[in-house]
Amino acid sequence: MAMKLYGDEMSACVARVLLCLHEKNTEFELVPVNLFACHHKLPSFLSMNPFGKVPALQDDDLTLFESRAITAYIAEKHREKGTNLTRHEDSKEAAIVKLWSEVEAHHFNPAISAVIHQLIVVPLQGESPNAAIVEENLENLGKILDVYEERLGKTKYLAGDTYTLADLHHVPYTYYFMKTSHAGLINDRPNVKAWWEDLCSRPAFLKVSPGLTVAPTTN
Amino acid sequence: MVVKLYGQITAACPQRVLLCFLEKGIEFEIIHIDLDTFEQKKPEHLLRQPFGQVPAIEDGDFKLFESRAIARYYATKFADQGTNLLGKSLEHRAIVDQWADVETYYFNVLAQPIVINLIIKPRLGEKCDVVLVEDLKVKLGVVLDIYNNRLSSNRFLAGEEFTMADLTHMPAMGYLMSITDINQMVKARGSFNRWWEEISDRPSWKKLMVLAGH
Repeated sequence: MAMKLYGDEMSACVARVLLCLHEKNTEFELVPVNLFACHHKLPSFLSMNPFGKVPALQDDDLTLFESRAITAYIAEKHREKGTNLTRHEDSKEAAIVKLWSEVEAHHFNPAISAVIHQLIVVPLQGESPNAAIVEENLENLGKILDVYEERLGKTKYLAGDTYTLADLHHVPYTYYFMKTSHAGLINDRPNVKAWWEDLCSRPAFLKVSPGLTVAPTTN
Repeated sequence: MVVKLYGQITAACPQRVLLCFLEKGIEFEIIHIDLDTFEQKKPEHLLRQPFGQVPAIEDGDFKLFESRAIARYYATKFADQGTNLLGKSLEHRAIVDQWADVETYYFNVLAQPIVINLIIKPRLGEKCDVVLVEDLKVKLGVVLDIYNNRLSSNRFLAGEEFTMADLTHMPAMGYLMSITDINQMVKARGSFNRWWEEISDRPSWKKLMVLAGH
């Protein structure tokens, strides 16, 4: 039986898993969860993810939440097919993949998701963005991207010469970020820009990006 | 040659790595990086950790930063030694990863600014954001309710055995329990309190507290 992924294609965290599924050529069924109708807060969904967030995954008896735990599971279960996303065959290289995955989790994600939340999600809730939060997080993101610019001057991808989960995890929020008026943070850094353009050329990205349909109403 | 851990032994992220070393019986050497004088922001340390944070490790030629990546590397490298921190099957490992990620995205995002405002800032003579802290405590209560429910039917976060999912919470929990009203929030949640009392009774935690001067 194919894996079931619960969520909506426009969710960045759902897209993170969709990218992984396509990179690994894994069959799956996307079970829609209506976020605007708050179906992710209903008991039926909370029984899969008590924190009430998409995505959730069901694979036979296993139910999982947290998009990056899900991508790690898919990448390991299907390690022998599709793109090698984890460099599992060498423990030191696998650790470098984990290192840059942690950098995404603890440095990149907090800054970029705060900007996306203010510029895309908050207007959808009928509120105005908090300019101070946007400004502070753009400044943080710039400093983080300076580190990335130096790193990507030495390696083609974050964890080395091949595309891994460390790169993949960045894609959905960066895609939304590039729709805002602050895309210069990426475009003004040549190595980061080249890396981003490479990520956007991948077949898995071309399948997933059409579903990332929300856009900033204000910048 | 033993692994060198660059960091301050009282800081939460180096403690995460040290707990892993202690659980796995891995020999280590701590090279002190003094956070009170911002040694972590100086050029020599930025070569080890470009974001100017601790810890970083050097193990022969191999270098790594990000405490959770370091802990995972050593838990994998020494899988057959000491406590099994990663999980036994593919599915169990996924559940361990899930709750370890919960620590990052739900627990640490609240615990870290609480600890920074109530413990670190006073030490550095800086002003605490009282309004922020009160808001964070309310959100923490909601998150701890979910943990309490999980731990009412599971001895540990990923099931019946202690794993990385539990370990990764411990350094911040140690700090939070020194804050009176958070200590009370924990004690008011029976299963969560039972879990904390059990994991803080582990020899690795007690050894770490001695090393950290408690």
